[in-house]
Amino acid sequence: MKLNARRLCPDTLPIHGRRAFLQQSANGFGSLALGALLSQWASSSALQAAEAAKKYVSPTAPKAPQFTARAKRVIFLFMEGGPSHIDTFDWKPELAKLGASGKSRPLAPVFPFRPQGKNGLMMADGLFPHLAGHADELCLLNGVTTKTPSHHQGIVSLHTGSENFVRPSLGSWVTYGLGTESEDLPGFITIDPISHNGGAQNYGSAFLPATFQGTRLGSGSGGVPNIRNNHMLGDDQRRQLDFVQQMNRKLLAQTPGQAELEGVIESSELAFRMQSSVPQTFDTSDEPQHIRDLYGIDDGTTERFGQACLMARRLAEKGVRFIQLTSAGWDHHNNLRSGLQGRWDAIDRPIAGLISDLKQRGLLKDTLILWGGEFGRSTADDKGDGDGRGHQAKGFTMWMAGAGVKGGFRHGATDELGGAAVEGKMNMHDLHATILHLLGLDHEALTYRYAGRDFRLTETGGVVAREILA
Amino acid sequence: MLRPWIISALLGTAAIVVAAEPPAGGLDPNDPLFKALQEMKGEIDALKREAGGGMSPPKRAPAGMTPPSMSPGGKTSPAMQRPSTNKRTTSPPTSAMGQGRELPSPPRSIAAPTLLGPAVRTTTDIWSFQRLKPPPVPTVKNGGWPRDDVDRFLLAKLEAADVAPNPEADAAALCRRAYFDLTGLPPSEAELSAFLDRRDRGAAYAELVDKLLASPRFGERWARHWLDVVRYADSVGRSWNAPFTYAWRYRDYVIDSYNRDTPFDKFILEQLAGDQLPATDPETRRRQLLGTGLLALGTAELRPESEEQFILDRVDDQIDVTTRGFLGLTISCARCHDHKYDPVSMRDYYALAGIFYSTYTLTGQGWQGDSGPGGYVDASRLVRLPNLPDGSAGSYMPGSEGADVHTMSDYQRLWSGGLRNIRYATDPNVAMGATDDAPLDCPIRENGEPYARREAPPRGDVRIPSLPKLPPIPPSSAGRLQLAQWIASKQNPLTARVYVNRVWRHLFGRGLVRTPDDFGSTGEAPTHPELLDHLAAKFQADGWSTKKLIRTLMLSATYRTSSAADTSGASKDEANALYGRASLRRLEWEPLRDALLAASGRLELERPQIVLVSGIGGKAGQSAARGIFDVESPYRTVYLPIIRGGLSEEYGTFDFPDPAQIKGDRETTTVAPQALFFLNDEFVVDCCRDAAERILAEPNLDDVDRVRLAYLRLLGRQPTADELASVRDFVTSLDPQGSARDPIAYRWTALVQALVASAEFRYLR
Repeated sequence: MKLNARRLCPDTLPIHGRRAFLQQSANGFGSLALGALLSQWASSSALQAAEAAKKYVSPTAPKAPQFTARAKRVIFLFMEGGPSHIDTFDWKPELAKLGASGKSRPLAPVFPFRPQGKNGLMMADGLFPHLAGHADELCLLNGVTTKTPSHHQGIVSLHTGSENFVRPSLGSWVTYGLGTESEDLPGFITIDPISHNGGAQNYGSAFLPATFQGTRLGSGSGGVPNIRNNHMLGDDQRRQLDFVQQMNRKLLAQTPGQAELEGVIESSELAFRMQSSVPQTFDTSDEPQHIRDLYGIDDGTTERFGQACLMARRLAEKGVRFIQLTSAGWDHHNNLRSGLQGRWDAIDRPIAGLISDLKQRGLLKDTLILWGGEFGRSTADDKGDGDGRGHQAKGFTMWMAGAGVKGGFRHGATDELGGAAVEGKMNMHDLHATILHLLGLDHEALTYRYAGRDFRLTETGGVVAREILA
Repeated sequence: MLRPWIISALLGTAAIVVAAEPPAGGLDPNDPLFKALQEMKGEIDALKREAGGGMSPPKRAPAGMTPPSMSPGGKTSPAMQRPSTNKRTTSPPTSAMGQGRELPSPPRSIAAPTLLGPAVRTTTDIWSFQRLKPPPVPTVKNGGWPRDDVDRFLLAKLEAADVAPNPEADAAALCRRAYFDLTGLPPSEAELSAFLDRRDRGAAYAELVDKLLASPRFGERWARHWLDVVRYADSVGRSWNAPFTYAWRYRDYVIDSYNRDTPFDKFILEQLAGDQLPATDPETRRRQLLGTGLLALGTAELRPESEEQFILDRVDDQIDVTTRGFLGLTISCARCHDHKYDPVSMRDYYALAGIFYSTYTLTGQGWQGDSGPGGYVDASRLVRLPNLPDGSAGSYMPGSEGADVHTMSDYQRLWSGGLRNIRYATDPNVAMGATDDAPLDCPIRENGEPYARREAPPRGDVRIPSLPKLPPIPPSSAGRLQLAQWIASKQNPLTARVYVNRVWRHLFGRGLVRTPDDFGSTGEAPTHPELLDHLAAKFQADGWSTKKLIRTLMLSATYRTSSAADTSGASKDEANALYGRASLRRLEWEPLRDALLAASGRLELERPQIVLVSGIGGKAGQSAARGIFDVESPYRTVYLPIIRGGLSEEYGTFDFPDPAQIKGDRETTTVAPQALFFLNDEFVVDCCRDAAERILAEPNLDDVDRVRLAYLRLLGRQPTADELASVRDFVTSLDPQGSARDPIAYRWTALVQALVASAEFRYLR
């Protein structure tokens, strides 16, 4: 069954057709039983839409999920390059027995493994000591697969569900479906995104309205554009805006019921408030020393990702719906040992700090953390020097933590050498369907009509991994 | 505004050294798929050698790459380089059925047994497929109101609902509406006054519409609407995103076509098959070749999984832009399976695909497996245009350092010499476009998989019920001309309906069909089907003239109504579904920016005639494709380069469509970043300062005159007495003490910016 609002009530879309879904869902279609009540729902929501037409509703206003959500928001820790699963979260004793035997021959895990946490999940020992301390929070997905083991296809497919076409990104679908709880921040923020392998496509909105695209932070533009008034003094800008709003209200009086004009008035006030609230969110100088230490901000090794993780927490507190952080450089064809160690050194304490901090603030229970890259790494020695692995699409590991997922849990498995998923397989559509499910969205019902058909993030696939639901 | 953490984050990024390279072809060499592809490639290469060497596209451009003085210019036939045989055939094409030797299937099973029989529907009741015939014009009670039959169709429905149409808008509002709708620019205060001073309002308005239709600004405004539909961009997008060095020639062709009022049926022929049309003079030939740029502008993955994937993706883009753009049909849905909703089968798709499969597309780029010595960017892979004897085609302009920079390798040579911000040379006689390849029907691909081949339907053998058949395609040609004739025919029920609806949408805020790119069963039905058919039939009868159509619509009483909504009619039809009043319409990004430039006095109306992009593709700063003009430049927005994935924030903020998408219906969102743009953006503030200085520089005006001038220039109307008082209160409340700027300029800038930030500036009343 599809929840396509446009098909149900095509004549009630006076402001703009595409916004009908938003307005109707803003009125909460989660509260009604679907199916039997569908026709009733359709007529009542038609009325609601007519009501809503009179009133401006921001396209990013929070919307109720389709059913009870386990997670309210997502923090996606994207590891660009394809981190090794074999040397980290996917213990392969049989592979270890084979040792190193030359180019294109199996290469044993380059780090020792040890059981971690109460449930004794096998993980690399000493590679990420801080994260290992949170083993009981982690839900390891050992059977993840992607279609193509090349960076561009893998990354774009991870972010948008399609490697061949320009499609909306996961974050923009989520923001389209749920809006944002943050009044004065964008609903989808990506910090230090990569500019290649799809670049902006990975946080773009494609055919969804542009307002759902990710806002890039940490690049030259400085995040939220035009947030600072550099040309007017003291209260002059407030006086200026008062004058503007007086004009706007006059125009509205001539054309009453114009939701767009109400929107201009409301969004102008919001913009004015954002000028003080946004910099406050981004100014981390008010964080106490113990929090700085928790994220490793005063240590050169962890400073960058620590700052990003701390920002993620602050954005999560503000109600931002989808936050993505990127750690680049996981493509270890060479220098597997030192490379992996170096990358983990930079992110281990920050990620552990983020988990602890969210937990102590009561945010972890409704924040879904997702960690992983576009694919995993081959069982084989890539260059024959015993210190590198090639790309592998057919089986690798991502992990989740937080809202709605089982902690200290392992789902899925690869074969005995780690070369391909054999159990609990999750392709990109399955991964996306599961994330949407945790957010209270049915991946088959979250649709958008474009070019004559209802598009979905999961195209024609997607199975929710119910085994991991807590 | 960067916080220290962001700065340190940036430095951190720079410090990371990624010592890694992907294996050849982007696939793990251990992957069986990789091995399979390698083996297959070997077999294909062997077959190609057997078949006579295959064909390689031109490696270097001969004549076009040297200044015209040295080239054998002046020829009227295009010196396009094209292969002698189709790249996809493995034996000489012996028949239109393409029964050459089959390419081998990859050594693994991809396709499931076919479940997709020829499930072509035999009937259709979709409204848009019904024959177009002009409906009778309804009679109305209020016979004095209508100015045109358009009004009668609308008034009949208004009267049925007992809604009275609004009176005519005030002259100032109507004047501003007409200027922005036709030229995308505001009237100057002199133009506005001239109109307001006329006593014979009706005649003055008709003259105004004619004057604006004849303005060169008209094409710049209306071309942009078409460029949205045809996914115009100055770079190829996807992973490598190499620049299109000559996309702008197509853009200018569209602008010129709107200005010349090229009949729309001819416009279709030129864009799909301009290279196939007869021409008696070089100028015509040139124009016709430029039209085919339409087919070359799509996104492409220059590092594809396979050659066949690359070719079929391009064919798919060409089918999509052709069918959605001209027919409002989503035929691309049938690439992998029969269309779910419309009577279009996979067989129809591949019958169309054969036409583009037999077409050679020249984009100025080469893909990874076929890039030649020029690299990804290579001007030798362009259509060669005939030179114009009178020199009106422009002259050759060398690139950086006076060098002949035409290719990625030219670019890299200068780069390794230490040069940065390298400019390409501009050749007046090349363009993107298409030409015939050796004809070859396109085999159906099971599930769209490139190597899962089935039978090949004859090119052009489209059997969509209720649509006419394509004219027969000669065995020696690709068939684009026949495709274009089929679309541009009066017998095709879709073409005129789709186009008049697009035009209507831009003048009234939404289409009579609210899904302008989808006239299939998943699109919406027209709200006024008789009016749509009336307009479509009249459009055909009027020689497919866009200007006549626009003139009819703009002279209607309906277009002239006021937008006031404090009327009894408005309360009965709140959503204005019946068009009883004008809808408030927000200006798009282009007219907003152009109006800011106009107010500042910096607007440059000249058309830049050079290559607009730099870079070669990829990710690094100097290699990434980028435009040579940014938002601050003085040119009209239509002339700024459109880099896919690289548009500055303002474009998205004001709902500019993703240039990878076909989008005839832009969104209108209202969000805080728009307000922040008007409050704080440096470009806005600069324009407002300049606009204030201009107003202050006017001689012999007192302050009240100056406020009046500001209102006229920015809002297209006089301020009321109340507003003058509010302005005085506002301006005197400001406190410029402590500003480095002159206090008077500070106050006037604040006022100008306030007017710019108001909803009225952004909206057409």
